[in-house]
Amino acid sequence: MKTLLSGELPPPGTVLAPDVALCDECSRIDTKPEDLSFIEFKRPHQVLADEGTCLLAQGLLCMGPATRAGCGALCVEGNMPCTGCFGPTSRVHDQGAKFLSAIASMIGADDPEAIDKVLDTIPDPVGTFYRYSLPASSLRRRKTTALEA
Amino acid sequence: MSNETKKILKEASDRANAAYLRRRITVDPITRLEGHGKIDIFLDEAGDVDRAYFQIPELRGFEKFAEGRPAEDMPQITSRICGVCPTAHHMAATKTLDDLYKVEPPPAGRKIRELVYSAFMAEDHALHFYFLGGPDFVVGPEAPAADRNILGVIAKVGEEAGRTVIAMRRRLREIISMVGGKVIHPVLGLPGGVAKRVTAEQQKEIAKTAADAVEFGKFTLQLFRDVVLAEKAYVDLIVSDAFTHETYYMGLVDEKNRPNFYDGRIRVVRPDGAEYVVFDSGDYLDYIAEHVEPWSYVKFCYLKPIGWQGFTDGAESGIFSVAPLARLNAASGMATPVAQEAFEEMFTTLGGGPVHHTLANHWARVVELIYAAERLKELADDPELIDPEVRVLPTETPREGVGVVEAPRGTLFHHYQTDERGVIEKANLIVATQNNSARIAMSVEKAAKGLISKGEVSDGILNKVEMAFRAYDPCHACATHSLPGSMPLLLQVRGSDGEIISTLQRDSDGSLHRQ
Repeated sequence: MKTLLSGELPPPGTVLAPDVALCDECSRIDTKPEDLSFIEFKRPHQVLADEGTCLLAQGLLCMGPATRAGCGALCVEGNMPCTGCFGPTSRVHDQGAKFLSAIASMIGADDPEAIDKVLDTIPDPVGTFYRYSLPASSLRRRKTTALEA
Repeated sequence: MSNETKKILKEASDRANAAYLRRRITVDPITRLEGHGKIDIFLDEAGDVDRAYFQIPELRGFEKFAEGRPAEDMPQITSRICGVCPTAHHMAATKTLDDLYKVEPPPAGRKIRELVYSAFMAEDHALHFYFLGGPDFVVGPEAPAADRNILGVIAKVGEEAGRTVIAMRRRLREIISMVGGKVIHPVLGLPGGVAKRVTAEQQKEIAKTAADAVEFGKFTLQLFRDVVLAEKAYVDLIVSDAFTHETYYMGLVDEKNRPNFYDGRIRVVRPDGAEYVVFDSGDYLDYIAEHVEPWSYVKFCYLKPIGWQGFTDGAESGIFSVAPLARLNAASGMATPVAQEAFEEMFTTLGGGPVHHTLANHWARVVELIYAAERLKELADDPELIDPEVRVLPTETPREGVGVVEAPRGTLFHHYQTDERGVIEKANLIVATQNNSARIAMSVEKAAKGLISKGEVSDGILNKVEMAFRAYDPCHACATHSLPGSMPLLLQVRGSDGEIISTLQRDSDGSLHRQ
């Protein structure tokens, strides 16, 4: 408020939040394992999530690793996974792709069939990974232009 | 054509246009409500009102982009319909998930939900009374526009009272954050219960806020008596014919026909007060249908068995009303003592039920605020609130579910059809203010006709016309949640940098053009 009233505003486009992933701010970070390996992912209504353990470690698709900190990890405090509404950090251009690649590295399977089985436990990849970021995603920047003869 | 002729024709055309502009009055944007809208008033040659239109230009599309989403995401997706009443959608969606998966929350889970919901009803009603609709009465309908807002209210009731209002809303909203993660777009709802349990420490804090909320409700009612009921000009306005309509009234009631915001059966009474029908949420499609007009994006609900008979009053017209006044009209009492007293005071003063004076919505809203606070206190004092069992896991295969709650602004239905994995195939929402939209349109037109004559229009008069919709506390982001029928439309899709990516145009004959 003081800054607003003094008239000395930060440059336009400044994000008033730290530029690190949400995990840094989350009260459960001590329970986030170094290596995660999944044979299946869980949807929130399929498990009774423990109120003190990292949600990703419990198999839920928590977007924390791909989301900017600054909100106080409120949804996780509410015992529900982060859905990414605060957008990515400044270093990430496509929030959904960032999380997708993180998940891909956590799949505990080698052959394509087994991998597919794991991915089948995510019923709506676009709606989950890109819920807030689809318009800014590189998926949407395709433009068709007619070629001059 | 000679220059002389052209000059004469141009002068005549300019005069005609100027005369037309003098006969069209536009209020754009309308203020102190949730959502966007405008009012267009057309005068006849005598300067009296010929027609008045209440138009909503918002377009959302939730029913469409819900398709393909996992149903358990809907409480958080649909809460984005509105930033003022997100908890209403969250709760309706959560109850729809219960029905979808055929699960019942354990007692603590249900009580936690109703606790959060009561806190929400109390703070949202307080928002409307003090910030949105109240200024018209507390400061005065013809007061300068710059004073007709919360700051004007604080100036009138005093800084101490102003702080009380702001602090009380903050504390009620903190309950929602505490239990639901965050207050705007809470996260607690899941099929079969809630995401997190309540601790003994949290319960202590909630109980304290609840006790203060009941006192706050009484304070608000006394303010209403002192500032509104004591002023003859206001009472005359409330009971005036310009602000009166006789329609059906709908609300959720418990087994004793008393309003319950979280759950119950839907009761509809006739304009004369006799019961018309009581039905369960699953049967809503038998009773509620939607009508479309070309001049607004909001759909107009009406009672299906009676049919759409146009924008008219009376028992032969299918038009009905929801939200505070309608809920109290559709009930026979309140479930908590202080609210019951306030209920009786209101109906006695206004000559018995049903009350058809639209502006009495403000009074009914205060009665409901008191009930919400008392109900909050009942749940906050309940030892079962901190029981650790707050959710059961679903086992049934999902197919279809309907959920209903009373949003602050009226009866709210969510209806989802899913595949066997629980991914939405079709969603239908009947949203609170939609149920009121026909009566709101009628109220605005009747008020305009009653208040404007001989072309005399002032800011105060136009504000009084706006008061005709404000009493309903409309939520138009909510009411326009869908993609409506076949009116002419120009759709521009822009990328995140603002540049137009594509354009889609639909003409009034239904033909589509894409660029």
